[in-house]
Amino acid sequence: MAGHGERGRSSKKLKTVKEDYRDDDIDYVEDFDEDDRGEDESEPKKRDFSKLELKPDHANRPLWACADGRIFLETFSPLYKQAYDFLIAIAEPVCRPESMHEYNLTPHSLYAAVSVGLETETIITVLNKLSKTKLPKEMIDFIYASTSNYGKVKLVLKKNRYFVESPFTEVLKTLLRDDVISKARIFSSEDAQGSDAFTVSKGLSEMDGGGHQELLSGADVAAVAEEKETHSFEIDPAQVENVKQRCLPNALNYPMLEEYDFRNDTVNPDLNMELKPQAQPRPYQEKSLSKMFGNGRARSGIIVLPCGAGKSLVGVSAACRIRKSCLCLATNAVSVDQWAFQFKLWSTIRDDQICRFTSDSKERFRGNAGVVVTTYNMVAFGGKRSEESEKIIEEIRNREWGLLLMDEVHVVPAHMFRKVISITKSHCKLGLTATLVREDERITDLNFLIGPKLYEANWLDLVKGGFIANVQCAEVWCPMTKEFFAEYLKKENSKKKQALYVMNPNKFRACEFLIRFHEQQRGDKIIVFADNLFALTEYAMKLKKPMIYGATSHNERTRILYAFKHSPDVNTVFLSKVGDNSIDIPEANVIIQISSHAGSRRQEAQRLGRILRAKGRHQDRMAGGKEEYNAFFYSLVSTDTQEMYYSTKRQQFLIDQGYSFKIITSLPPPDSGPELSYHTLDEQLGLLTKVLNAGDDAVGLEQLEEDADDITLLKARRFAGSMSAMSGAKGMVYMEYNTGRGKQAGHGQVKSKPKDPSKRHQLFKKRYG
Amino acid sequence: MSWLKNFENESISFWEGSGNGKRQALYIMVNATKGLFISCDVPMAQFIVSYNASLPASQRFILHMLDSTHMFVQPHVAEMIRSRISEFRDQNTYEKPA
Repeated sequence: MAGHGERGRSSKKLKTVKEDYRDDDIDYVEDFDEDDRGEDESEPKKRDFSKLELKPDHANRPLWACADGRIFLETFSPLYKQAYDFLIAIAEPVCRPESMHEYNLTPHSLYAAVSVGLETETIITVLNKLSKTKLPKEMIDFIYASTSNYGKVKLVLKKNRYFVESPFTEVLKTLLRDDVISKARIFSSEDAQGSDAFTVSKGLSEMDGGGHQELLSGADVAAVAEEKETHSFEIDPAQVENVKQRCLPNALNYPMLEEYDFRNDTVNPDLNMELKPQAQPRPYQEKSLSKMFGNGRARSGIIVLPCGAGKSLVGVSAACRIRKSCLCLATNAVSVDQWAFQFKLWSTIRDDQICRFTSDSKERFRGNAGVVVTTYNMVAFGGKRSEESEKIIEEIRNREWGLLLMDEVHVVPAHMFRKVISITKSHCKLGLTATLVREDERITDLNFLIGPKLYEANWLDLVKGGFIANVQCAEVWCPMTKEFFAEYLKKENSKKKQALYVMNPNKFRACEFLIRFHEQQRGDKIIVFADNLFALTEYAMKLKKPMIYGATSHNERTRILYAFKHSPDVNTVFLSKVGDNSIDIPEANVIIQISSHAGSRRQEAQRLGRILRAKGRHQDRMAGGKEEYNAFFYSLVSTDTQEMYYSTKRQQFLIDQGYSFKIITSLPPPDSGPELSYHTLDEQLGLLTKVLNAGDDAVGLEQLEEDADDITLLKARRFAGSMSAMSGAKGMVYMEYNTGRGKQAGHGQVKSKPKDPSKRHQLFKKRYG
Repeated sequence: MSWLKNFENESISFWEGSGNGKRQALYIMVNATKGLFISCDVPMAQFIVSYNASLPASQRFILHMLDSTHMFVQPHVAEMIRSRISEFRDQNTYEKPA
């Protein structure tokens, strides 16, 4: 067929390019049909894999592998633990409910697998061992096709010289045939000058195979453990970026793995720090670190752990193993303080070796090695800086960092990453996050900017192990009252829709009921989240509870949080979305969410993360312990409104992690009367008038300077796609905020923007304190 | 859907004589109209009311608002209301993209 197409093209040279494409398409489709006819006869949704051959001892094997790359894992199998560790290394988790997990093999996930040291043959053998059926030919082919080129080439920084390393001389020769790369090559004196000679060294064999190798028979292990020789050539440090670019899949397709041989790095001074003895990494933290330091070198990549599972200990441990200067990037000043604190808590670092660099505190460390904690904004900031910070930035630029530690990598836009990475020279990059989802699909950029995902923990396993709190998630359905719904439906109120469904009196009563219940019956500490500032203020005022939002001064925040932590009288605090990420409130164990940032899955997961940190005694939390649930996450939703849509969408990430949401329809209980607010129609109408009279700006979303995921962008994109069911009116609600923001930027942003006290000028700081 | 019920009250006959508009009421003056009795929850009733209000006067279909969950409407609108409501509900339902 292909030959036929070729002939057709040569005989009719005037044929347009478009038609050529069509020829190719036909070829492809027919080839495809021959391979797996049974599968795409019907619509792709009904995949039939019944022709796969079951192995006789299938009952002992834990997983199903399907020809389309999907893998299902039975979590009740005795081999679950080993199989999970293996699968998480080679495949992307799609959905992980309690008894059955779904994974997907993708080129990215295989790239990650290769980069943690798994080889194509190992992947296929182990997968075959674990699978109940014979591995489908398509899957084997796919693994071969995706991994044949990955992991063959490594970029190693040794004694400040960059080497391209590979066990296969042919691959290096292929690379050198490329102009850019051959020009970048440096011939060192001890090498022979011939172009074929590469520096040969004995490679370190993988040490982390552990779990996977147990699964292989003896003969296989022998093959894996065989010592390898590696060949390498040196390249010009100035050309590294270009060489890397040439190796990406769209050019030569030999993506480079970056490794840092920190033990043999004699040029950069050692930093004398160690983990304190009381810092005992938990098994999963240990495992994630072993993926990073598998062969005695440090790999760049991302580690995904749920909030509250101890990401900072992983970061600090990594820094302690590398023992070189470390640059730690966080999202804001509060988390900078927290990171600095974590470093001092877990490691033996001296106070003069660690410094914070924010707009408020510009510390500089003495000595030749140390840890600098700063924010992404401080490093990537393009405008004019003060002389002092210019000096520090210059220092950061000129230094060669052993480890670049990046917190919350999912929130930082790609362009800022590029900037940060181009400014700082680091041997090894480690990204940490809890939620590797973004509403714009730019999460895959991280694969190339930082590195592959090294490890991802299973939330439910951590819950079972008692490492994170066992959370009962619930969605509380609050019907709209007649009057509020009537206004909600009016066209002229389209801008106030959100305010109307958030201020729904039934919701208010449900919220009040829940606060009372948890404060009085269980003695819990409660956080109430509201993105909508108008609602936040109304609720907090009416219920007489403290609140924190963007404009709350640092002093007041600290005071409120202190009271919340220590005073028995302050058990509830209202937070706007400033509380999503970085405010650390380990005391809280109940979250009530009354309004949220549209359909952001990330926000939902981050908010849940506020209460995930385990509390109480360890044995009580284990499965079957005293308290089945020790944390509660309520989402209050007004039924029959847009909120229902957003709410379902927001839950998807947590559902994929195996959480289930219980739906509660009878809150507050029907017999509750005037003890809760807004019992009478008059009160409700009063509230309605208040909502309707508030200006459109007042009822909108709070606009923080850093808007975590650019959800507004996505909105437009999503409309074109699968969300055709969405009405135009919803888009308009969004546009409204958008233009509002633009206007603000136009005339006098300074005036309307709430002053952030941390950004206040030095001179005024004393006065307002 | 159980909230739509056909309600015919045409069978009650109060009329005597026939033809040519010369009707004569015997006992009491009663207006009989064929229509549809709708029973639903509060928000849906509001939805139908607001839909009704958005139409030009000649097309409005609500004959009587009985209370906040019951109403009496013209007989031919059942399908229209059904499709309107399902459209509205679709907008508020998130389906996971495949």
